[in-house]
Amino acid sequence: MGMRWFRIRPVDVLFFRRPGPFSAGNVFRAETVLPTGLPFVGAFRAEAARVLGINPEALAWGHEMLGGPEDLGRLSFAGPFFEKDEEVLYPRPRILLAEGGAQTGLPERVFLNFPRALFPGIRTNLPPGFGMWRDPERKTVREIDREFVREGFLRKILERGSGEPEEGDLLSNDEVFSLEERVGIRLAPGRRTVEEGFFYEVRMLRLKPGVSFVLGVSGLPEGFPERGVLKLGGEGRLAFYEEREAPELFLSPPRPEEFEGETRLLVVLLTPGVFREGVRPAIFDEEWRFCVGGVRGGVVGVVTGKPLAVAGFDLARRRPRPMVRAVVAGAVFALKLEKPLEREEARELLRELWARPLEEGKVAGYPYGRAGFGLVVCGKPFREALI
Amino acid sequence: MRGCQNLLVLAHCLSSFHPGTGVSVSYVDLPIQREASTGWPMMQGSGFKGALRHVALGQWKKEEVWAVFGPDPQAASESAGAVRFTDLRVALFPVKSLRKIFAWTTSPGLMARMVRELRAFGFKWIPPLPPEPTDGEALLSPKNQISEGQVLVLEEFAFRVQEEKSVNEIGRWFAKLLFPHETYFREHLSRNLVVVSDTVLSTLLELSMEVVTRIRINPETGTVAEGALWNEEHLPAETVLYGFVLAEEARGKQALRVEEVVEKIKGLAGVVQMGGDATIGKGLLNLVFMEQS
Repeated sequence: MGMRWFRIRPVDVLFFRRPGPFSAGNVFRAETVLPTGLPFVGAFRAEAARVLGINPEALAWGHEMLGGPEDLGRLSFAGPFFEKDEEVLYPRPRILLAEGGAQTGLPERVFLNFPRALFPGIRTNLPPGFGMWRDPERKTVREIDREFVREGFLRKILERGSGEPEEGDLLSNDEVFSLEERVGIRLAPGRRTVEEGFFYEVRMLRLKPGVSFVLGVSGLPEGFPERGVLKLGGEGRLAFYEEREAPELFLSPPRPEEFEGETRLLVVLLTPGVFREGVRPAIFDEEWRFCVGGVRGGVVGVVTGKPLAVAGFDLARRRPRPMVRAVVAGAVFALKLEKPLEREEARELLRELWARPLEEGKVAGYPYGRAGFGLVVCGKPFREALI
Repeated sequence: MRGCQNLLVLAHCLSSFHPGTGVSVSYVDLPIQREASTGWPMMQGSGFKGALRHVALGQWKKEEVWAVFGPDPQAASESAGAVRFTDLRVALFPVKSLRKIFAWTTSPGLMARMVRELRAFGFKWIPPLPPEPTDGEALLSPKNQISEGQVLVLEEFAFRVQEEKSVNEIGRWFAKLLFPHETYFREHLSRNLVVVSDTVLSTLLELSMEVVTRIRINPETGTVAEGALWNEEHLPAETVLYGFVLAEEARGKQALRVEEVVEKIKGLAGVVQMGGDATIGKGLLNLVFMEQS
């Protein structure tokens, strides 16, 4: 069965616990973080179990359709992403730079940067073949402080390497969500006063009006409803789900003609990536060379932030999951091809590197790729950024 | 959601209600809880659950409380609770009126959110949605008793009256649930509900809250103890809050079917006390539960 897409809207707030132990003296509140796919995987599996009339606890022993503690059965996921006013938002590619804008009097223009050859005589500890990420020689270039890109605009800049954003094309965190501090106490049953030591702070996630999550799920059982209520994340919070159209980015890749003749490509992570070799996905060998769809080349640059700790709780076996470190969403791998792409090669390359997980298989015993991690798209860098 | 049942809960404030958020450095020392994105007042689901659990402890056996609400912390891993609570949000807000003392107000945004949630939780009996008035307008039932000709005065604001039949239907929907046996309030809500714009309601929810200044007297001198002056924010009496309870079967030592869990929760309907300042009469709420069907 094809992938079904759902809009997931919290009833009020959500709580996704920051991974890691509670450290007395260091951590004064239970903090929420932006969710990865894991809480959504759990929520949809539990809901699917209910549709099938299975007690969710039975998943501890594995189920052909829904999987078990270390596999997902026939299920696979894409996302989650944010959606605002029914348009999907994706993480900003971390090599997106801007020029112009309000203070310059010129229209703002953004472009996808690309590494340049090292200065002669410079030595680095980068892998052989890696270049340097430098500003193009423009005085008004700056980094972008908005974290999300609207789907239509992302597609445009991936296909062209640049674009002029309109209002709403680039959004900051506070246009999408806020973190709400809540204080809790526990009343002593007999005394009706606060029980000593039972004062706590929790930081919850509240989505802005008009904002929801979007998630793709395939392999759901027959009869899985189009709408309903999910138990999502911690603290017993609830969210509504309803089926929606697939995001445009996932309906079709760009036309191969757009990439014909290119020798440089950018691979952008849409969701955090959990790879066996840390920051290096398995499609790149130890020397950062690749052969994908018959196309050969090498990585000449990577931009990623600090690793994201991904953990969770194995409800079936009632124990924490091993913590893994993910490459953050928005990370970019810059590729240099051995020769210009032919149209058919471009078609094959896009089949492998558009809206698909970059690495399948299990890492630390869990199929993160099928759980929505490591989804990528590819694009072209801005021509004038190149030497 | 198969294997679950949902309940709507309406909490009608019989006295002022203080769902506090602790001490603030703003102009109100002890403010009430508010949603971060809208600034609208609320009671956190965790607080509502805790207060209701306390009520249940006075009426049920301990095993039943643990089965429905979850065990005490020292036995937390034994089983999860069988009920989940959303936050309580404002549905109707009372405002001083030139005629008939006060009027319950609501807004299209507030109603739209409530209706969306009623539908999503599977409720069939749902109030209609009102049209959107401008900031200078107030929508009233044609049978209302609170306007002065074409003008309605709430607090110090005057609104142009627009008559709208759906307002009467919305009022009757709430009145049927809240006041099945109270003719005066049932009529007042049915006929005199006011729908204002979202902007106006947000202003009222900010500025028309009850802010009470309190002191502590030094028993030896009979004068105010030094530093013992503070102010508190309360939801005024007659405020109506709404939320939802999602009930599942209770597992663990005391197993209960979902229908039994629903009946236990419904048995907690009536007047309860929640929130702060309980010993000075605050937080008396009349809880009404309605099943999906």
